[in-house]
Amino acid sequence: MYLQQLSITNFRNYPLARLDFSPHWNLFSGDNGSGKTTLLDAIHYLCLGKSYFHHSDLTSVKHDSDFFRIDGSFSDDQVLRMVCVYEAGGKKELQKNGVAYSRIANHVGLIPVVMVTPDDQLLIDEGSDERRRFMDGTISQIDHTYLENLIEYNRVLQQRNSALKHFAERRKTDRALIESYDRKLCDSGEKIFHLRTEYFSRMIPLIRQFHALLSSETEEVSAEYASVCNKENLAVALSASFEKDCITQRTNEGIHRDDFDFFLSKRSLKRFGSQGQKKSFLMSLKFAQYELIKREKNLLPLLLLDDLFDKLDEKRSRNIFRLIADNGFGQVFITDTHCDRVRELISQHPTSFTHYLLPDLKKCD
Amino acid sequence: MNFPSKLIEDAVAEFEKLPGIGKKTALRLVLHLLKQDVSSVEQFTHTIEKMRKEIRFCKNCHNISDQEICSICANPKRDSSLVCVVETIRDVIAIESTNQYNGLYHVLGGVISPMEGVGPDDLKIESLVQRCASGKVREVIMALNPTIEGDTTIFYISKKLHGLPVKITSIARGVSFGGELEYVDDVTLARSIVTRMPYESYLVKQGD
Ligand SMILES: Nc1ncnc2c1ncn2[C@@H]1O[C@H](COP(=O)(O)OP(=O)(O)O)[C@@H](O)[C@H]1O
Ligand SMILES: [Mg+2]
Ligand SMILES: [Zn+2]
Repeated sequence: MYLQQLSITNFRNYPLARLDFSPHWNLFSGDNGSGKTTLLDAIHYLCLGKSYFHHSDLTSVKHDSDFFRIDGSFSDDQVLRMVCVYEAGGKKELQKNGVAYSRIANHVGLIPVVMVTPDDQLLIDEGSDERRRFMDGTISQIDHTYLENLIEYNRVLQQRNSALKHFAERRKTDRALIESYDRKLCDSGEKIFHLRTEYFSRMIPLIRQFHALLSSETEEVSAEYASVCNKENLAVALSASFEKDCITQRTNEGIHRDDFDFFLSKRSLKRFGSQGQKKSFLMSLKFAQYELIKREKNLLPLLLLDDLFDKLDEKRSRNIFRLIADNGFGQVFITDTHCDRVRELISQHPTSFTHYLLPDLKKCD
Repeated sequence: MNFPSKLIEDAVAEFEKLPGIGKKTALRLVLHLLKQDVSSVEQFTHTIEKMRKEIRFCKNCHNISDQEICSICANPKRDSSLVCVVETIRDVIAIESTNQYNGLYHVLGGVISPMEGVGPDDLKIESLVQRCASGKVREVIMALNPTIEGDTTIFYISKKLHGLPVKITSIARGVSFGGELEYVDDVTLARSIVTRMPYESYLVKQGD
């Protein structure tokens, strides 16, 4: 599956733009603020129905406009036409071949995508939210039941937390109500736990494999999935923390507190890793994500690489380029501030490509 | 929209508050009423006012009623040992129109959803427990929407009824998850009432 054509209207800095792409390499070069990341995020919208970043849909509507629209034609055996429209103050709609999805979640997994941006360092440095978001995004694209369970879990969790807040306001607790939520929380929570365990364990050897290719050093990569479910039955844990939950007015146990820890030579990457180590680890992690989705779905995800070469030395850049060229990746989109650097790298790999110069979107052959 | 009359503008604003009515439709309705005799418009407003002022809720099942006890509860031909638990009056109307059910109802007035400020105390759950404790009820049929909130409410009620000599059943789930009872076609609804099932998870939990 690859993106043949993209049209965007009133999306961030673009009033109207139309681009066509190569099934292999596609380059966007231009200064900072010229709209490179915006193009990648538009593609992300078509694949997953939302921005890659924590942006709300509203912030993507071009200033002085009141809607945005993204159109894309994907080519597989047949042409797949995707449209994402958002009206300020209204609902977002995602359409496939002219028919709107009743729920955007139903689309997830049809056009798998992996995005790599300089912001990804948050994945290592920040709290567990970011890492869960990463794993959730990965597994949801592979297994639809995972996403369904996650949506249900989060809804039940929100209800349970609201109930705990009400108890505090009304100075009255109702254990039967909390137990009614616990039952459903355990149900979906345990399914999520099993799928996280399963897919994370399949991902670790892939991370190792890419890390060995990308990093000149020989640190050993290891990773751990930390979850309450590893220690005890979720129902027991929830029941035991009932009093604490009432006091803190939130749910203290559950798979919404899970974390994924990464280690280099048995030392925590988050605490002891250097900038360079973190950067190559992140690349390995993202390539592992790509490879896992590719194997499980038997489909080549779109690969979106934002400002990849910004802080990489030339040797690393060459390594990554070669790895992508030699390892059966599908369609790739790359952005860079220097128009010569990527051109130079690509010229060593004889495949078809497009190259757009931003902000004018002038095509350069 | 600009109105030449404040009276018209106010009337339009009132109609617009109704569900599914936009400004244009509201204006059309107001202009229609303007064409009628004063007496027929009076009858219209009087009927509505009377309806709102005099409507009562059945003491027994909380269905709408003209008397203290609704016509369903008062009907001696109906099986009073059977109670069907529903969310709203709309569900009573929907199930009644299938002509497949001959028991009584219990209208909860919603489902438990703390996010929307609705806790168990805001619903008619306690009065259901009392009805069941009176010993006249043999079976309680849960006919709530198949959503997370509906399921939670069923489970909560079944906990509250624990120990009472009533059988708890749930309507068969021919209805897709996330759907709403009032939009289901009659055939599906009739079938799900006829083929109601034991509420299995309740029975499983009862065992432990
Ligand atoms: N809603 C919006 N309306 C108009 N312009 C916007 C909006 N959101 C962001 N921009 C602008 O779009 C430009 C493109 O940003 P970006 O895609 O991040 O550029 P790059 O990745 O090339 O550095 C920025 O100059 C930003 O100020
Ligand atoms: Mg950028
Ligand atoms: Zn009644």
